[in-house]
Amino acid sequence: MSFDKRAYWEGVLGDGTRPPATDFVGFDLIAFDVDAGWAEAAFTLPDEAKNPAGNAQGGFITAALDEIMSVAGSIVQDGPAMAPTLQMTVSFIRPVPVGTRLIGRGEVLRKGRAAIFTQGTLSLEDGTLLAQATASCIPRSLA
Amino acid sequence: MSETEKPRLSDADMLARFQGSKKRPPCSDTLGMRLVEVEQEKQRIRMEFDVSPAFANPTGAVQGGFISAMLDEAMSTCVIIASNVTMTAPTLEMKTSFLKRLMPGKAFVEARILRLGKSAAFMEAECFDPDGAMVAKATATAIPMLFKKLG
Repeated sequence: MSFDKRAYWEGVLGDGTRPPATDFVGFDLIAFDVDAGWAEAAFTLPDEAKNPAGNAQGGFITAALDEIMSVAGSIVQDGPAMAPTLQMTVSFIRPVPVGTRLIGRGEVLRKGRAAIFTQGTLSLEDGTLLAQATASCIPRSLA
Repeated sequence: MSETEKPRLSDADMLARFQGSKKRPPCSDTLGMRLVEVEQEKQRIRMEFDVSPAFANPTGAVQGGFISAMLDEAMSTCVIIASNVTMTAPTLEMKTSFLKRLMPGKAFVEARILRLGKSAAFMEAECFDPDGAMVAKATATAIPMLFKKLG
């Protein structure tokens, strides 16, 4: 097969037509590895995500993690693909600031034929862990 | 807990108090949230949301995290009301099952308290589409904390 997986995903994740949810969480791709099954991106959550305490509301943190974990679950599949999330658990370890550059990382734990298991973290640039998640998703080819 | 010291409002008055609140956090407006039912006896609330197309994933459906955001909003508000507006409860952990696609537009969330203790609160919530089909279900744990000199 002449499908260049890396080039395809560079196009989709870089300057490709981004879905609105991706823009909302300020997704900015850093690096990814289609063979090892991980992806990293920076995120900046907008003021619109603020809770009464002035930090990001948990669901918007979940949205950023879902983005990067879904990327990891998508790129490990054989061709153009998605990875719709079935279930996701998030631990909110520290308050997450809005308007600050955050580092998100998604990793595939297992790629099965019918299910993919992923995990993800959201940290400050100095490495302080803010939130951690695990998820299960299903492989869905777009080819 | 100061719960007993403060007189309880009726369900209708509690609802009116939240609907008329001028101190809504940005996340509530972002999600187009409106509290529509309060049942203090059952520690249950219902909210409706106007889900913005800004939350769509590549398929046009609402990205899961934003569904979690609505569920979190409802579960957190449920703790505030169950505590008679004496406590807030930052979420520690939350698990969401995404049962079905939700398209941008109207959505409804019902949340209830499973247990409100001194050091931990347990909540659950379900999200429904305009046809009444359940699209997601969540459970969460939180730490109840006294509001600092608030209302």
